[in-house]
Amino acid sequence: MIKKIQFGILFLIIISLFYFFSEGLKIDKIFSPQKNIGQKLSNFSAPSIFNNEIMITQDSLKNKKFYMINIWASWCAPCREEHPYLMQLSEENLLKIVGINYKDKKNYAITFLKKFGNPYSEIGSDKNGAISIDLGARGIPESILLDDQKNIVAQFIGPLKKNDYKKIIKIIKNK
Amino acid sequence: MKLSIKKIIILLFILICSISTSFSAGSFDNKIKKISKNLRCITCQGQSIDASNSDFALDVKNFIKIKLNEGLNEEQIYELLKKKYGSWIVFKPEFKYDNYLLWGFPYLIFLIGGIYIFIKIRKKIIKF
Repeated sequence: MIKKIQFGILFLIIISLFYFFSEGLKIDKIFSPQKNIGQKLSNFSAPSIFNNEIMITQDSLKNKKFYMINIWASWCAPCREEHPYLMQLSEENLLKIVGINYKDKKNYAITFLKKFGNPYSEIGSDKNGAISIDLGARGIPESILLDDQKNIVAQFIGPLKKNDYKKIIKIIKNK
Repeated sequence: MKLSIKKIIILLFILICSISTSFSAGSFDNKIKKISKNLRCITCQGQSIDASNSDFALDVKNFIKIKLNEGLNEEQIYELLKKKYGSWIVFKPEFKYDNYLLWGFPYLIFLIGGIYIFIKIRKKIIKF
């Protein structure tokens, strides 16, 4: 009798382990890190691409109710894709856009802005990518929408699309 | 003769300086390597930041270098990155309510196994 109970318990343990591990196989292994919505923007400091002596910091974000930090580069094709939306946002004058020029050459960045327009009020240079990590970026392009308290309201990983543009306008107008 | 002693002293000085510089540079690089080995790459999943050559991994390595230079220690760097990317970025998971089974299961098995062995041995001793 005891042997039968022991066998039964062992059988149950094996079955439950088998179920446990087979369920584990079904879980999606591709991890997408959490967005930092609700968090306060980290302190950052980037030299201006126009003048190395001027530093662009979190204190550069002032006099507006909303701010956007956009990480971009002239060599990044999706950045060209989202650029018209950034231009539209800047023309509407609802928020201040600060650019972080990622691993780019100054003259290429300036040529890019001359060709497609400059939506940024200030542009900081991120020569080795460390500033983007400080900002919690996953890649480029990436845009972080902030309120006047510098809390992250929305984060857009990848190029801004029409829906993202509409979402930004909605967030700003609803506040 | 005097001149040759001077030369030897200068050479020794240069040698000592170069050895100490290489040692300190080595330990700094080792620190970066140690930290980046315990961090997960989010663009090439499954690889560590140390093993990956993706842009994200290179950026994180630069970030670690800057933060170490600013005087932050290993734990503070992990905390900063966890705040930005979640606890998943660190290979060693932290003990939380949703992963208590992961941490507790081996100890539980160890305890059950220990009790089982204890009972078995005790029975055998009683039989003898």
